[in-house]
Amino acid sequence: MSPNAPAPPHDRFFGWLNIRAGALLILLVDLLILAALWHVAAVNADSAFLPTPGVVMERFWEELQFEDIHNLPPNHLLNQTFISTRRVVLSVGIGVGLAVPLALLLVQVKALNAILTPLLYFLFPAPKVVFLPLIILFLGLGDNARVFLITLVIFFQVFVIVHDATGQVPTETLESLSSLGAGRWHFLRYVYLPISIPAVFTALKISTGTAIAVLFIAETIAGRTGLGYYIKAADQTFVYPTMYVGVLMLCLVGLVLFVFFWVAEQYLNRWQNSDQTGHKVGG
Amino acid sequence: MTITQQTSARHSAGNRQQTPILSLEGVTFGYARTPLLDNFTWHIARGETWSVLGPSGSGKTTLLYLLAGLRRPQAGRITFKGQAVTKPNPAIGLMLQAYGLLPWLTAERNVQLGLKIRRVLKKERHRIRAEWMERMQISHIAGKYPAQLSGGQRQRVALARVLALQTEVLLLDEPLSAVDELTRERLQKTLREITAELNSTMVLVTHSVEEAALLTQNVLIFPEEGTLRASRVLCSPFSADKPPHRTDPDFQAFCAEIRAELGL
Repeated sequence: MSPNAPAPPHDRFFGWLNIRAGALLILLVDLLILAALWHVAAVNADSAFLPTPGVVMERFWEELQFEDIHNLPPNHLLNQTFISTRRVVLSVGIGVGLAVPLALLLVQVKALNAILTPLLYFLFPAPKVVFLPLIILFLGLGDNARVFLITLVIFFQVFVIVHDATGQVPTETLESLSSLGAGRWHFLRYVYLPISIPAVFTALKISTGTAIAVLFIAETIAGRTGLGYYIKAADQTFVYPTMYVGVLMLCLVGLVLFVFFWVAEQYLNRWQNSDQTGHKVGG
Repeated sequence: MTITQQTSARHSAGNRQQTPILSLEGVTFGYARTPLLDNFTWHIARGETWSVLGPSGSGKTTLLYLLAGLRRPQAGRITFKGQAVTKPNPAIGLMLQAYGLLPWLTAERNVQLGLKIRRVLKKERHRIRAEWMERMQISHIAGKYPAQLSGGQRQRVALARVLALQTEVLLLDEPLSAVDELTRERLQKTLREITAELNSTMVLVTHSVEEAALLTQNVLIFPEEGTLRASRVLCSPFSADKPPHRTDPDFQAFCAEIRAELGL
């Protein structure tokens, strides 16, 4: 069965959550095999650059320890994780919050669309990361510069994906709604919003990876905050297991966000996951 | 012979004669390389039921779009109760050939969509929805999404959606084409009852000669080739007091008459 094919209802965790228990088990086994391969490689390489997974996990556990949660040292793993996560979540929130309404507005207002859309598509492929030194000059070393940069990247990705998807509504859908007496609000409520939801989530899932990559660059280039700095600091002081801990944590942040978006998508997109066997999926 | 001459001839022969509810006067319409209507005049009186028959691509659907206010004539005038039709009118219900269901709404939500747009109160909305889903025999699929339905089921959802609005005018584009034979016969009967009961004016685009003869009093025939200018109209020998029946020799004769007009 292809990964996109809906799982039969009896094999699902929740009706709408299109996931197989078996698939999770396989993932777990895969991860164990990966860890085993890593272990074998590390033992054979016998290098300080490549500690065994056991060593890294042990360090992970040590790095998680703290005396006072309200007064963590600046470069504590939890503190840096919190800072980085906050930056990503804020940026994604602001980026989506600006891009989706703008895309929906432009799709419906033809005159504005004609003026703004070519420009936005023109700017989309420009690499935003290269503006980081400039952004830091203007916005300083704190959260603002990082959040601004990631927001910029996310905004364009989400805008382009949502604008493309909502611009392709079949004419008969619009005409049938129009013949039912629909006004602008109804088109938004019954056509553009629902059709934008899958696009928003596609954009979110793709953007999470991009956001974390940009975050990493933004945090290594200057300043002493975030997981990017945590990794860089460990690297420069030759504390390799700690560096691995930082890398794993950053992956974990990405994974958690990805899973969160995925679950939300499954819930909001029930109409697309409805299986053909006639079972009602979700509420 | 023009269409106006023919209808008035029939009307004077006994039918009620009144100001038309829908009128096309000298309407010309076409797409880039295919002119469809040329200076076409057609009057539909309140309560009249019409079928539109003709080859594919002859402009039958376009005619409905014009009546629904989704297309503007390039020349001429379309009026509804004397007012020019320039945009969709809430008193005119249209069912598209492609159904126009929203894939992200369940069948029942699709059915009540028009009512919701018209701000019908929730309780009333649910009552009307249940009633029409029952009549279209789709109550059992209320919670399913269009992708889970068969073509015939989707068609019935679309039909229930437009019927639930109880509009003065019903424009239906092949409403039963995808429904299985048994259900179609039952629904044809239901449609007959409904139009009689609501006294709605109906224009039905169809490919089925029997359906036209069974459901409507008048049949408008699109020409094999060229534009619709002076088209042919046939009137049914049946009435509300004397409904047609498939086995009736008069019915068979009427079907034969339509077939002859179509060149079949």
